[in-house]
Amino acid sequence: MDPELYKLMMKTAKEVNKKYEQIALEEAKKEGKMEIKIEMVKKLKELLTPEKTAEITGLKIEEIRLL
Amino acid sequence: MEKINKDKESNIQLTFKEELHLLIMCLLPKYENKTELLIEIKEILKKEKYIRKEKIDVMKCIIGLEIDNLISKEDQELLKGDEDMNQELEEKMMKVAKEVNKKYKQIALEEAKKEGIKEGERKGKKEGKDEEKKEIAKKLKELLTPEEIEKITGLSLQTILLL
Repeated sequence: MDPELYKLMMKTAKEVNKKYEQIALEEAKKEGKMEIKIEMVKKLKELLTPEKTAEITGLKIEEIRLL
Repeated sequence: MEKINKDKESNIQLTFKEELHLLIMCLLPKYENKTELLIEIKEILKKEKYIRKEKIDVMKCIIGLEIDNLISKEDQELLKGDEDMNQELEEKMMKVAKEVNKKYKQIALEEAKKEGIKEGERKGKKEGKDEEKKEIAKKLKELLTPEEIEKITGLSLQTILLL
């Protein structure tokens, strides 16, 4: 393969990699936050009222009751 | 290439090119076959004591030029056919090379995409979890002791106190 073309290809691939990494990162961040919220709700339910837990985690009371 | 042959025995000054051209032209009527003619020229030049590397180079150059004139029509057509074939082959090879490059580019981009997603997911999930833990810990500070928050969130006491 032509070395110049190879360099260009690698550069483009890196840019694509970065772009998709950023998109995936944003999505995964949301997912990670939700996982922690669920985990925290399970622990906080024993210490706080559902209303207070909802206030802290940002989840709905109905959702908390279901967990 | 065109160095002057200063032969002391003659007053005529000829370049090697002129000298060899004259030789070819003199011998040309005697031969029907160009290979025999060129072999004869080579033999003549071999016998000359003053022959040097430059002279051989000039000879090669002239032979190259003469071939166009000496070559038969049939051979010329065959040569042209070969050239056309080479050009056609080259075009085909270029096309294949372009397709291969395109294919590899596509593969590289797909790989980059997959790698980017994988890396983003890994980093993103960790970042999201850390952010959320801190966010919840901040709110819990008004309701629970740092030790209790530590137990629930898994964050260190130092981190909790700094929030």
